[in-house]
Amino acid sequence: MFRRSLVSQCAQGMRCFSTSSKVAGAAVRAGVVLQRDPIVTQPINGFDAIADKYFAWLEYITADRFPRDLFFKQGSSNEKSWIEQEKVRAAEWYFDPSSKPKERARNKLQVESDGSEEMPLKSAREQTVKVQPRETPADAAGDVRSLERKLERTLYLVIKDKSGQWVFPQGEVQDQEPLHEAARRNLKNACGGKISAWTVGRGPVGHHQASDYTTFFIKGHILAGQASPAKPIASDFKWVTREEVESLVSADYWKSVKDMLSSN
Amino acid sequence: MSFGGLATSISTRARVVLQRSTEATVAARAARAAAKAKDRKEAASRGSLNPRYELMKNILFYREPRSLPALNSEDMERHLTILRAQSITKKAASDRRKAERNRKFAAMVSAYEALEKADPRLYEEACKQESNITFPRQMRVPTETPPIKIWDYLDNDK
Repeated sequence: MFRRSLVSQCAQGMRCFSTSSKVAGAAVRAGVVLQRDPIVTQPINGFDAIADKYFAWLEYITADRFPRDLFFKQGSSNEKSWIEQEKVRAAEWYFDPSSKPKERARNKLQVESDGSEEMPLKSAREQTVKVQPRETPADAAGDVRSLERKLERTLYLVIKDKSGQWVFPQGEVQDQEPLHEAARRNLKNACGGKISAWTVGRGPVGHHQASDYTTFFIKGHILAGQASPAKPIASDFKWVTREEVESLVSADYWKSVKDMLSSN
Repeated sequence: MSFGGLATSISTRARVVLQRSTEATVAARAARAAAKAKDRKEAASRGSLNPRYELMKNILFYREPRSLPALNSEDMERHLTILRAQSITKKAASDRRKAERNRKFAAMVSAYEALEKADPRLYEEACKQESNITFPRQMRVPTETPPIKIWDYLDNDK
């Protein structure tokens, strides 16, 4: 995937690098960009919603004859609810109104439906399913520490470090420790052991150059649990969207991290 | 954009349920009766052990392909405009996603380069390829509405 530089290709054979050859003042820190992935799909808005409706209707009017006798038992409740839905669909017409097919007296259809005004009966299965709202109480309260806020967006974990800055969880890399293990350890130290996370791969997705150290970020997905900030390292935490990260972190930090974050 | 003054709103579920074929008018119903007779006749002409299976096969494989109804010039123009608008919005959305992907990749490449300069040992560790990488089972595909228990806080094991 990556073209290895000549330096590293040589290193494979020569193995002449040691810790003492590190560039002075380039101390490395390992951080985690921990994200809670979206739980609900993005809403379809504006033109896309209307276009979907138009094409669905187009498919409807050009569709093959529905073999009703094959699907429904005559006089069954399923057939009745289908006929009710058909009546609603029959009223739709998105072409020139003058080209709409004329509706003659539909005596047979009315007889079939018993002229009932009530809504079509739901099947037993439909009655037991209760659809949950996309907006949660956390949304209403604006609880930025909650993982149940903004279900259609990606949320990122930011913590308040010792100096009061909002950053991604990060810390030092110990001797002989790979980057991804250091990142996991630092996340645990900062946010407690009650996070079940999947860190992606062994390498960084981004980096931030501070004055005396460089932080390399490993991408992680939180699968379960919640952050509980450990006081000396992290005094507070938030789960925020990409725009909210921009408003929290310093301008310099934002410049480094903005390309790592998803806009969805 | 107006659609002949009609404002029927259909829930997403109803739309999904009704996206399959169906009939709209009495004229269509008359056509249904005629076509049903034709189906049975064709099925019978093919002959078989079970005429119902033959009827199903006829419906699935031997029906005429669908086509757009006859549109006047204004309807056709509207239709083509909608198609063009849709392709433009899709392309714009696709370009945005592509640009974001490329920015993410560029950030990753830049990070690897910086790591190589800063700490070669860590760079070597990062470049190691792990085999048989799989996604964790708990990673959930987004749905239209959330589950009843939205998030697992790992409070069970206390």
